[in-house]
Amino acid sequence: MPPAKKGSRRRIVRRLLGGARRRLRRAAGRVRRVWRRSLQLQVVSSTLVISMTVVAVLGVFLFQSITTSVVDQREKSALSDARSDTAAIANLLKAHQDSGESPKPGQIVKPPVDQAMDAIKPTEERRYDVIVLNEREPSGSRATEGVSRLSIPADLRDRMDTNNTKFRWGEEFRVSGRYQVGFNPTGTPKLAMVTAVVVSSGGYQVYHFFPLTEEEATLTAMRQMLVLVGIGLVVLLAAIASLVTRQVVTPVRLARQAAERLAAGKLDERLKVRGEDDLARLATSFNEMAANLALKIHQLEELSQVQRQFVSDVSHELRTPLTTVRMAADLIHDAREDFDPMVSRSAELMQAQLERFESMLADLLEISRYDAGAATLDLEPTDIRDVVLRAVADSESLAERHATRFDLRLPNEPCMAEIDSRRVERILRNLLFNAIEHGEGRDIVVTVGADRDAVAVAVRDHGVGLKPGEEQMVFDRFWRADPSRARTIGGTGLGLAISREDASLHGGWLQAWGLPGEGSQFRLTLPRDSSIELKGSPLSLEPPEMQIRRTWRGQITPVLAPATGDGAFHGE
Amino acid sequence: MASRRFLTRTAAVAFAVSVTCLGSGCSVISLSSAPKPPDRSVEGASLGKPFHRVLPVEPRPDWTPVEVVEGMQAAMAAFADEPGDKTLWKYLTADARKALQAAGPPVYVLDQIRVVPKAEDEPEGQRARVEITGNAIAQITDDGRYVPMTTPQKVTDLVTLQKQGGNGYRVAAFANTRMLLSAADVERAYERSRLYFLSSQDGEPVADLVMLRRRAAENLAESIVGHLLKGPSGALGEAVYSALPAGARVGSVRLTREVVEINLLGSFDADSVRNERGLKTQLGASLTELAKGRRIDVLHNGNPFYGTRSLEISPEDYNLGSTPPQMAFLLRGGRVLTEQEQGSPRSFLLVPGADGGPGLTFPAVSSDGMLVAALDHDGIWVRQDGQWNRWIDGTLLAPPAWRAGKLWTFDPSKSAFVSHDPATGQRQDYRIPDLADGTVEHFKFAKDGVRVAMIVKDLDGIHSLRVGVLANGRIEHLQTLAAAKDAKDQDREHFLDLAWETPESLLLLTDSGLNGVDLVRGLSPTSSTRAKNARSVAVSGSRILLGTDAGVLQLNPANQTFEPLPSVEEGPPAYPAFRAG
Repeated sequence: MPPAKKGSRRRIVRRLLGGARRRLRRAAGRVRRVWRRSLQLQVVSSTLVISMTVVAVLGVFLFQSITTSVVDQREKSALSDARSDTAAIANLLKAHQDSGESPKPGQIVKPPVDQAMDAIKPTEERRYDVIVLNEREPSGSRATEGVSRLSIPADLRDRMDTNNTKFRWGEEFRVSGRYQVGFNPTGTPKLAMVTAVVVSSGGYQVYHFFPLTEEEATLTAMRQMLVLVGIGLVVLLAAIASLVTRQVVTPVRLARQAAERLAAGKLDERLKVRGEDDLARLATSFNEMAANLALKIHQLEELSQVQRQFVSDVSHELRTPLTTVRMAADLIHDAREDFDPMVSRSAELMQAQLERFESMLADLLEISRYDAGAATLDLEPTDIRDVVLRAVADSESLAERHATRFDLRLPNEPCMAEIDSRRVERILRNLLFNAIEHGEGRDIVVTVGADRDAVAVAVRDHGVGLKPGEEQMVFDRFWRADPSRARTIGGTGLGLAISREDASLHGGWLQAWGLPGEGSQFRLTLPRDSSIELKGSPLSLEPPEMQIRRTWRGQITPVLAPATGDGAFHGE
Repeated sequence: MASRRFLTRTAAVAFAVSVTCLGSGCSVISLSSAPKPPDRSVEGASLGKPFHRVLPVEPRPDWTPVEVVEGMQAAMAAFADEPGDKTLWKYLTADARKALQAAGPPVYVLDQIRVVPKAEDEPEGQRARVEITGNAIAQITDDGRYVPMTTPQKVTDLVTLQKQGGNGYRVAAFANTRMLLSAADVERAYERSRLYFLSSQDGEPVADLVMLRRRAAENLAESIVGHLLKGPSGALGEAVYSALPAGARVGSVRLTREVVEINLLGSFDADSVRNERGLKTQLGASLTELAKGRRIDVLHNGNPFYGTRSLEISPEDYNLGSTPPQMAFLLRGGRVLTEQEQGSPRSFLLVPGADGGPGLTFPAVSSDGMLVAALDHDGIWVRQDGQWNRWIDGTLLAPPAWRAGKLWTFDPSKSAFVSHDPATGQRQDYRIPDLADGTVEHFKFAKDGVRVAMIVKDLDGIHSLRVGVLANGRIEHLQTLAAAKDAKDQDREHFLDLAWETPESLLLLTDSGLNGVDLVRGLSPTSSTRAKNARSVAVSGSRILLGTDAGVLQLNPANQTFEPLPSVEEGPPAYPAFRAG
């Protein structure tokens, strides 16, 4: 077979094995998960294992005791029968040797061995078979109907033959043991106790065969019964454990479900309280906790609402005086050249702070709209590259001031998406301003990516970066990495918060990556169609050069998917 | 709340069940009690008493010629028990073996066997001769019949042995090529059994007494059923038939506490069994001693005999019962007397009607007691409605007997039995092909109506007791059971009369001249009771009456002696009789 075919077959086998392994692992994982999550299953399994062990140990001990009792009794009675038979046989044979009488006319002459066989236990009651063997006598061997010469175990026969001539009358050489004996007529070997004895010097050997079939049947029946009882006992114990556990676990499970529902926001979820036991008290405490929690949440919601309303109202209320102040300030600013330098400078400062105040007020109003759920989108198919270029153009002057250059990496094909270009432009502007502010004059890389479902823009700076945990905090309102550091470009502290809200309004993601000293990267991912749920981003959150560097350090293969924390947050 | 209560109750019930289960488990297993002895009755082994058999041993190089011949005899005794390689062949040279195999040897039963070397042979020589002597007392036929010799015959068989190098002696030749068993071998290995078949005449059960060879592979009941399926022995021939299905063979016969279960194998059609009653009688009566009142179930290939309906034989179907002693009749000086009541004291009263001739002897009473036939010098006379009429003419006829409503006698002039049917007046002759050399002086039918025992006098005047069966319009399978001693005239033995004591055993009245008259009971072995001046014998059940020159004797079972019947006074010769069976 050509090597290529061999290789492909091996690959197929490996793949199949791999598949099976994976399935097995998945199944094991499922089982493990189920086992971990079910207290009832754990208790029942433990009970099963422990009770099975106990029952098995007890069963083995009990069965051994029964076996010993049953078989020993039988062997004792068998030995007693064998002894009395042997004595009768020996006496008859000896008497014949001693007498030497000649038969009377008309009398049926029975050989002594026949008389000996007649002398053994009354045949109707006999439960065993006998062989009288004398290979030296031409007609000295007899067997009862159930056995033949082949029934004699070979090793027993050898031992008897070895000792055949060593013993005299009155001396006894007896051997016994358990053997598989072939009884007639079936010939199927059966367990039997066999005793053998030499009854005459140089002569007769007597073998007794006591079938242990009945005992075997009794023991088999007992074994079956023990197994059945054991299984029944284990099942019963498992059932009891299950019942008892269920009594405890069911209320706990109900409490868990209620807690989950409570956590999901269903604050009116309550447990039923039955009786006065510990579980009932748990339910009562849970209900009280839920009631208090609901009350607190309600109060907090109300407070939050009041706060939002306050902010909104204040913002609105400030607008009118601010407009007036602005108009007056504009007049003063326009006429500043007529003032002395000190006043002129003050006018400029006032103008700048008024602009900032206006921006802050605008941002506050914008975020109030989000809080009130009043924000709406004005969607239209737009090439995201255009939006990026516009935002970059808007940021050029600021970049120049910070001696920062933009490195644009745009695809050649249009990246169309249904977006509100005003909001997206605002997001990008925020990101670019942010990058310029924290980029420390280094290049800012703007990358655009697209796939079948989404478009993405990543803004990478090489500034101070983010500390661990700050990837989320950057989107908090009025969050500042270093409170002592002044805002140089007049940000309000709400830009990234509003940007994330804008992104979320599009059904998109706005995520941050950063490492201290390595800069940071913000990635905006938007679905091409806002009705489609995002499943991934065309761009990686971690900059590619960072992934490559990590690989070189011998760490794991770079993951091109979004960072774990963000993915979880966004449902990735 | 309700659910909790349910759980609590369920747990309580589970606990109770577990306690019960554990308790019952413990109560079943007892460590202290002795093991129960196994019940042999369920094994099927008790269908026939256990037996033992000879284990033959191969000849040893150091054995003397006598020991080799004794070993050969043991091998002959075990011959039928060995399924494959026979030990007997190891005692024989190739030629002797061929001779024995070719002969298909008859089996002789010897008593008093002795094996002695020929004195003139050289000890330890290459050839040796040994004599087997004994009394041949019976022969076992191919069909398993044990045929006793009328008189034991002295047997001397010379056996020649040849030394086979270092292997010692082997039997090289027989003077008579036959298998010899000792009486002890027969007693050990054979079981005397009654197999029942059905009479070809009237379908009534007829016993076939056979000797069954015990085999390790089957119990006695299986041997009995197997022989029943093979058919009757040659002693009965076509006088009987079997109702068992042709082509059937024995699967097993097993005994449980309540039922004996016979499983017949074979592809026969059970529905074709026409004579179900006969089948039940045959199986039941043949197994009666083993079944001991149990019900017998017959299966076909392990299933109910008729497919959906089983064939059950209840004890009533096979209990042949015993005949209670009947009231006796007496013929004395031409008068018929009958016993009036049973028990003591009994008295014989004269039956009203005319007297017969004074020469009437040996009466026979019909089964209904209405007809009494008797022998006179000119024929057979019958007393009917108080009047004597001669029904069969002839001289030297045998005393009459009744069978199935017909009157029977033996006519020497025809050398045949003659039957007379009173209903139609027709007569029929029954020849005895095997009896060319004698005449029947007395005969009696057995109760089964098939066997007929007769005292035959041959041309030399010597009596013999013979038994035949009535079949195909003649008497067949004549077998001599005993022969009278042919001594000097004074001591010559005469057989006077005979009677069936049971369907299988005979009573024979013999006169040994100077020794007097004896009633011989059984033929092998025999026992005899002195019966002074007896002329005739009559039996009913356990009651045995002898007619003497002066009265009637009755056997006293207690001391086995004949005592005069007190109700019969001394007078002229009396002939007792009972109704025909």
